[in-house]
Amino acid sequence: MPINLSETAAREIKTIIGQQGLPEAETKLRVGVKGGGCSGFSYMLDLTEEPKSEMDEEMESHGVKILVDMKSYLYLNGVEIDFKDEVMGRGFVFKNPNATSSCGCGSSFSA
Amino acid sequence: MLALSKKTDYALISLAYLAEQAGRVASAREIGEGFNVPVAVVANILKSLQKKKILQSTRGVNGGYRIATDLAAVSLYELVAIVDRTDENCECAYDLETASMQLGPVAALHLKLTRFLRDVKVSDLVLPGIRIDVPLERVKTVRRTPELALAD
Repeated sequence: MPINLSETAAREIKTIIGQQGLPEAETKLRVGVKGGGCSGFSYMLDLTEEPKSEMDEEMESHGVKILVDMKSYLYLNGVEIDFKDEVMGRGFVFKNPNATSSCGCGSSFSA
Repeated sequence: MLALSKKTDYALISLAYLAEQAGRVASAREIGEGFNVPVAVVANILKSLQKKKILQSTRGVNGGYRIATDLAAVSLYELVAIVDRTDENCECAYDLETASMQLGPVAALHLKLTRFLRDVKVSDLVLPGIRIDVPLERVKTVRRTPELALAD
């Protein structure tokens, strides 16, 4: 299963690309997990102009090109990324069918 | 610096963990050791939350705590009040009653902080699929390096 962005999340990513003056055709959203949270992994989102490497999967959602390294993809397969703008602040919400536990610091999960 | 206390942080860690257990009970030891936080402090926090009926406890060898309420109905203000304001002598910066006696602009600031803490629900902070995982400010930009451009 691919990684999907909601329409709101895709719109927000495109807005950031525009605000930062990044080349629209070449800029990709790199989605990944990294260690460091108190129960394992945490999510990361980068906007990158770097091309796809051999270790990456590439996909597209609502017009946004997405890169994910194969290791991260094991944990992110089927993830839906949404965007929230509310009293708590503005940011991206991961709906991950692979996550089995998470932590209160909001930065990590295990799968 | 205005920040959540460690006790509030531990309370959120505990509630996030318990929310994932789908009704299974978990002990203070399990949470404390699992997240590398002091077990005794976690035990006191869980006891406070149980007294306020946010958690339900089960006694016995396999005893522990489970969530007993809808976390969308519990504000961060309430959680901070339960966990941090056990000391009667503690002066809380967000207290409505205290704020009303202060200089106008300071009172206005305190009232705004109080409203914010009341508006944020615990579910917004701990439930996967509801909480913000990557704040907007954390989205990094990796610019194309000259080496990469030359490689094309």
